[in-house]
This record gives sequence, C-alpha cells and structure tokens, in this order.
Amino acid sequence: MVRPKEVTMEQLFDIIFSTGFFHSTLRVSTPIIFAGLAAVFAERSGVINVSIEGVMLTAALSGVIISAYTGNIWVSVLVTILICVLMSLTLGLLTLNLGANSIMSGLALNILAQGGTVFVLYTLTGSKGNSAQLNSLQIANIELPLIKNIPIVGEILSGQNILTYVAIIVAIISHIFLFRTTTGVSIRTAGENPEALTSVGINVKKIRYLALTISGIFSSLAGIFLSMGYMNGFTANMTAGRGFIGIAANAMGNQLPLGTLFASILFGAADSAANSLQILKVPTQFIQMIPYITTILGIFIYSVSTSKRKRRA
Amino acid sequence: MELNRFKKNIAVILSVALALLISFIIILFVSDEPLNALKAFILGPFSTSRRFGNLIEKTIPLIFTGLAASVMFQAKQFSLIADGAFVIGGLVATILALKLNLPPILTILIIFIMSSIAGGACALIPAYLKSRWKTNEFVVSMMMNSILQLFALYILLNVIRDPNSGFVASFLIPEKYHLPILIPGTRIHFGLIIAPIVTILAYIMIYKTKLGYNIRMVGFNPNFALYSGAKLSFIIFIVQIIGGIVAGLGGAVEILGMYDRYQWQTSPGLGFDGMTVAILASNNPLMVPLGALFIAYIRTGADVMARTSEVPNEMVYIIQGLVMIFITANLLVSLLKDRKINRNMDTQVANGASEGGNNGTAI
Repeated sequence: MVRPKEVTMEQLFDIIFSTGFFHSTLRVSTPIIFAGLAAVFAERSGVINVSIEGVMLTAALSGVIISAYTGNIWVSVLVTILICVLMSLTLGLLTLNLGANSIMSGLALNILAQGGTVFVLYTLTGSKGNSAQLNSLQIANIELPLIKNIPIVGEILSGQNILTYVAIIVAIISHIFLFRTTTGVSIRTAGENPEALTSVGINVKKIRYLALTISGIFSSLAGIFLSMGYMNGFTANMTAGRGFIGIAANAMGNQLPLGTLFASILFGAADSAANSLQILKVPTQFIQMIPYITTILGIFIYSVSTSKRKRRA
Repeated sequence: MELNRFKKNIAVILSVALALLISFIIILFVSDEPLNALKAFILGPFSTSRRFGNLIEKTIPLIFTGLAASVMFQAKQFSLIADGAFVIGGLVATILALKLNLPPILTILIIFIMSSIAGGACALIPAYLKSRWKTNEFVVSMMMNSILQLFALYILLNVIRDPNSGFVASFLIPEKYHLPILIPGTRIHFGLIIAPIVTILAYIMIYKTKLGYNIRMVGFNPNFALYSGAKLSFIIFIVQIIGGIVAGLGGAVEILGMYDRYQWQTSPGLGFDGMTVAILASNNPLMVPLGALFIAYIRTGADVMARTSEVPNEMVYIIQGLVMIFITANLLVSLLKDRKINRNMDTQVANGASEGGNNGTAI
C-alpha cells in the first residue's frame, strides 16, 4: 500500500473547489437523478418502488447487448426502455392487482435482475464479470456551444454526457408536469387522496400504472447511462446501490422533482469527494462511507421536518 | 384459521414447485445436456457425503438470518439490517477469538453474547429513527449495511489482517475456539444444535408471550387503536433490535463453525437470503429451518450443476426471485378464492396502499 501524502488544508480546498470536481459531480449524479425521479413519480402516486435498482441493472445489460447486436443506438435505447417499462409494470401488477407487499415484490424483482443479468451475460459471452467481449455502443459527450466559452461554468457544464443534460432537463419538466398539468395533479392525488380521485371518476389504478411507466422510463435511462455513458460496457452488479440512493434522494428532496435533483447532486458531490479525497491520510473505507452517511442524515432531517410540520398542522 | 394456514402452506409448496418448473424450462433452453444438468441440480446435493455436508453447513447460517427476518416481518418492519449485523457478528467473534485467552467454553460463550450485542447495536440507528421519527427503515438499514461492511473491511485490512497469509484474511482463529464438528467427514458443526434452540426460543417469543402477541398485532394492523403511540414505537424498535441480535449471533456461529480466518471482504449476502427464507416460512419461526434447508438445497444443487454443466449457478437467484414473487403476490392463493372476495380484497388493498403513501414512512 502506498502511504498517502501529507496534504495541507489549502490543497484540500483546491481539490474540492476545482472545476474538475464539479464536472465529475454532475457526471456521478446523473444516474442518481434519474433514479430519484423514478422514485418521485412512483411514490407520488402511492406506490413504493424498490425495484428501481433491479430495473436499472436490467437496462444497463439490455442496452449493451442490444446495441452490440444491432449496432443502432436508438433501437437499443428504445427497446431497453420498453423492456424496463414492462418490468416496472410487473411491479404494478403484483402490488396493485394481486395485493402483494410492494417492498417485498420490489426486492424479489431486484434479486431476479441481479441473478438474471449475470445469467444472460454468461450464456451470451461466457463471462460472469463484464461485457468486454461485446462491442457495445456509447452515448456521446457533447460540447455546449457558447456556454463552453464561459470560464469556469463552461468547464463544469460543457463536455458532459447527453444523458446528463437530459436528466437535468427532465427534472425541470417533471416539476412542471407534476404541479401544472391535470395528469400531474391526478398522479399526486392518487397518492394523497385516492378517494377524491375516484369520486371525480378517475381510475386510481390506471394513474398508478401511468406513474410506474414513467418510473420505469427514468430507471432505464439511469441504467443506460451507467453502461453506455459512465462506463463502456456492463459489469456485474454495476448499479451498486444507486437505485436505493435515488430513493433516498427522493426522500431528502421532499418528493419534489427539483428537490430530488438537488439532493441527487449533493449525493453525487459526496461520492466524487470520496474519490478525490483518497489522497488524504483518512482510510479509504471511511471516505467511501460519506455518501451513505449523508443519505441517512438527509432522510433523518427530512423526517424530522415533516413530523414537525405535521404537528403544527 | 387452521384452514387458512393449510391453504397458505399449500400455496407456498405450489409456488416453489412453479418456480422450480420455470427454472427447469430455462435449463432445458440454455444447456446442451439438459438432463445431466437437471440431474446434477436435483441429486447433486446427495451425491457425496461432502456435498451433503455442504447442504447442512449452508442451512445453519440461513436459519439465523431467516429467524431475524421473520421476527421483523411479523411486525411488518422491512429492515435489511440482518445482513450488516451478520457481518459484524462474525467480525466481533473473530476479534474476541484472537484477543481473549480464557477457557474455550467460557470464551465461546462470551463471544456469542458479545456478537449478539454487536448485532443488536447495528440495528440501533434504523430502529430508533423508525420508531421515533418514522424514517423508512428499509432505506436507512440499506445504507447502514454499506457503512458496516466498509467498517468491517477497514478492521480486516488494518487491524486483524495476517500479512503472512496468502490472501486477504485475519490471523488464524485458535483451534480451541472452533465449534466442534458433529459428523466426521463433513464440516457440519455445533451450530446445528444452536440453530434449533434459537428457533424454538423465537417461536415461544412470537406465539407464547405478551411481547410476541403485541408484535403480531402491530404487524396485523399498525394503526390498531388499542395501542398507544409509545407502545407501538417500542414494538417497532424492539423487533429490529432482536433481528440484529439473532443475525449477529448467526455471524459468530458461522465464523467459529466454518472458518479458520475471517475473510469477508464483502458481505456473503446471507441476510438477504434470510428474507427469502422468512417468506418461505410465512414468518413462522418453526418453519424457518425448512425454508433455510430449501435455499441451501438449491444453492448446493446449483453449485454442483455449474461445475458439471454450463448452466451458471446464478440460476439460484432466478428461482429465489420467482418464489418470492409467487408467494408475496399470493398468486396461487387467489386462484383458490372465489372472485367476489377477490374484488373486495382489491379495493381494500388499494386503500391500504394509499394509506401507506400518506402517513406511512418517509420514502
């Protein structure tokens, strides 16, 4: 083991407040933003969606395989989204129609995805670890015209993956959608007051299925980003709990799309701090704990504030 | 009530059968010699005494984590902390075995007690936050597991690592602290006696004590008017701690029974498998050993199959996932019911789900 170098406070400051740090924060946050938005839609409609993690993993593998076999990025993205929406709707079928506990069936889907992805990978490539043998495609990084010339801001914002921009835009659109459209209001009402929705003749189940469809689309984008943007190819269990961190981001962001966006970026910052602080004398394992501790603190703060608000009401 | 339980058991058996059937069909498709693969899968665990030993050895830790999950599920607490508590239980057992120098029986007793306490301590944060602030125990325990695993890895690499062992592992656990082997020729150890004792204790606690009655009532209906808030939060707190304690003890039994060095760089994942075991057992402690035996059986069978054919042993996860889906969705129970009841259930469930969304926890 290499002994870490002595680092002064000043150098530490330089690491954290560098453009590189913020650039990587956005990159690392992307799957968490998508996963967080997936959680927002499901939970706003009244379904706890734990299967985001498994859907992400499925998307990560499916994107790689389909793009390798068809050579077409659009086909791979669209088919992957379709597969993942079906998986998400399966959760709906189990919980809404068959009365299964949503956490248990979500976990079951996760186990299925965890074993299923390795199973499929092995039968196709003979490897249980990664998809290095498959010649899969990548989603490109793009330079933003005009913005890239602005000092600092340009260095942070420009040159990100297309999906990173999509994630931020989608978060803003989701916010408007949830609060400014009738469908958005129906989704929120399905969670808050389903009887009211029934009384105006809207089918609660249908709305929840719609929310799960949206949730599935976002989960699949999170997975596609991991294997076709963040990394080049699939590795077993590559989601590494990001789906759950997304659920936590949604809790910390007060189930608001924009709140979730900021919470996700906070988690991303903690994650990329863990990477860049590894030159410090603190043992790696403790730095790797940062995102998880932040998550618990975030959920804790959110819960305390909601229960205080409830008491005041 | 009796009839219901009977129907439930039938449904569990049918669910397992259906999941196995689907997995056999998958094997038919992916294997060149499907019959040999199937034979290895089904009969593999009984083909040699070593493999049969593996089957029993794998059952023992699953009984502990299965009991941990059952107790928590009885009160509808979906905490995953058993996984982290199991790792920490094993870690504490290793540290004590390396540091203590007392008569073996006394040492092993101290180790069991301390590992149980450590396991219970792991559950403290998610349990307290849930009972006091209604945070979601699922997410918090998930995050706690990652933290606990990283902590265990740090201790392994920096405190108890033996630099002279060929791989990343702790110093040798002294021979005198190993649990005695019960059946020569296998590694089946004294844990096979401890696990049933804990099973019976868990059964008595759940079905024969006031505490157990309260736990079951909370699981039956968390909004039960009979219960004051304080009592409800106590039950929510205590079941998670008990789950952690049982899993921590399981980790200690596993380390002292199966390993001569601590070497878990990542969690062996037995806490998660415990949840499948609990579902198979319908959360009844007495059925947990059977559920554990089934999971150990498909594990051992899949390992044999992976060695003798080209079917990967990840097959096990597919079976486990399917079994969980079939049982939790009551897929086969609802087929046995008549339609009118079903429709009533649907609306109830929809209402229940929305209630959960409202005043449920903070995810």
